[in-house]
Amino acid sequence: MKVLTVDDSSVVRKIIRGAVEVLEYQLLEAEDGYEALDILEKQYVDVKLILLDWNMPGINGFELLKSIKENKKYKKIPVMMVTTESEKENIIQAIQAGACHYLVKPFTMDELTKRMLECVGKGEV
Amino acid sequence: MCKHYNDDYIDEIPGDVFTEALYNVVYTMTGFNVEKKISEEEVEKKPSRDIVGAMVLAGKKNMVLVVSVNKATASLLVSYMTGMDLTELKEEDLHDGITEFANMVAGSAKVMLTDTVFSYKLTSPFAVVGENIGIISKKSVMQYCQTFCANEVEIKIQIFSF
Repeated sequence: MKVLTVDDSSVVRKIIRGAVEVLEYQLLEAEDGYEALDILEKQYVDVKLILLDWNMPGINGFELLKSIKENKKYKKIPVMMVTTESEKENIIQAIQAGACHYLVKPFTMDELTKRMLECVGKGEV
Repeated sequence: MCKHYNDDYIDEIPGDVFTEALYNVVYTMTGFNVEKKISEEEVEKKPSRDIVGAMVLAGKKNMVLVVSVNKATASLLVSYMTGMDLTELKEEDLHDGITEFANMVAGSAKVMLTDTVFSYKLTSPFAVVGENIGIISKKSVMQYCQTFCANEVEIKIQIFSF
């Protein structure tokens, strides 16, 4: 099972890698929205969860979430936002656009793994 | 929280909020319980600041958040954040880690300052890297400065307001 993380911070991607490996999943990494869409185009069948940062260069995480949810091939893949943007307005926007969870940085490894498992569970229903 | 920051406080800096945010980020991401350093003499025993993570906070009151650390502190923080061994860390990891650290402090403070005179938008965080960096501003720019420590970890935050 593959998890795609999209974050312009290599350190955040490494933190997420730690959680993904604990769950014995495989991690795919993208630095920005364009790279994420490229990976999805090639590997969407295997991707079971997408983790998105909000503030990124190029396409921001929210725009990327919307384009994933508008795409017939990808829209069933659960998407969790992982971001420092913590205002209610952002959270509501993301959930309304189809995000399965919204995790605010900073987070503990336990929170991250728990939310990932919940998202995967939702995605499999 | 912090709803008392109305227009009457426009000429101040909400240092308490950034202090709270820093405590929260450091503890959540690394498990370190940092404390304020009171004595400036104590602070100057370790004057080296090699990596600065910074972000412009754009709002009614514009501010700049600066988080400064030396390489040893950066290594410890990033090692605890990522679970990577100190020997595995590259320079880029330290720069990116401290940049992300500033991002998280700014994000954490932002939510506490929502609907106050200091509410702001996050911008792209960046790092300044060198040897023993100091940030100097004009006298007219207000500044909040505080150093925090826990064992080998020492973190300085500054907020410039203009």
